[in-house]
Amino acid sequence: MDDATDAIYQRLTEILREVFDDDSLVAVPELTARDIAAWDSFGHLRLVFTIESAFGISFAASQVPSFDSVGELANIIAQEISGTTGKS
Amino acid sequence: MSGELYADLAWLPKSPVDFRERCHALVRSHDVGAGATVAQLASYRLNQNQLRVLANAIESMRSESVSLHPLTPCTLGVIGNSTLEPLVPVLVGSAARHGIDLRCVVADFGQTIQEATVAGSKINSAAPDAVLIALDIHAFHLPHR
Repeated sequence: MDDATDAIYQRLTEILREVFDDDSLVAVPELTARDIAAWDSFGHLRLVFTIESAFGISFAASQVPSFDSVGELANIIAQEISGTTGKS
Repeated sequence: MSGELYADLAWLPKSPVDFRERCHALVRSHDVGAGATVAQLASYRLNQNQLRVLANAIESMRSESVSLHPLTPCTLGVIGNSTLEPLVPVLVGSAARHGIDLRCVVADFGQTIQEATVAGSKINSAAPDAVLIALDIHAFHLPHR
């Protein structure tokens, strides 16, 4: 994991803990919504809004429901930060 | 003056970095002066996540019969035509900033008229001090353009 990716995961750990109020959470690629009881549809939206604010990015509406794992989420964030996303 | 001033509550002090821990500690403390501490925690510039943490702390203390004095108790009925549950922690946390111990009773989805008019409804049974009627545009059957 390179430094930029590591930084994304560190920030995601802070965000997951804040959004779901659980200090035991650690952002790892294989973590999914099924692993966190509070990660329901509204939790998902709060997570999206918090990530957008924290990273200064904006997800396309089509991307919002599609995060199946934290790994996938981190990849999308990295693409957004680097400007290589193909969102429409 | 921009809309962000209001959206971000920019006139309030920034929340401490250990805000969540302070909320958790308050719940654990069973403090007899919990209400004053709740009001103090609510006085910061809280985002939606923090308001939820504070509201959960209030609910935890309430469930353990911890007094929230000197906050003023108030029961609010909430009815509307959309999903209302996400509103509750925001209302509860924000009310504490104004010295109110707010308890929300939320009507079941799609039961706006029944809750308002039937004597034994969930809302009427709770005898709320006030009722928030949160209707979106779909309630008014406006013509589509």
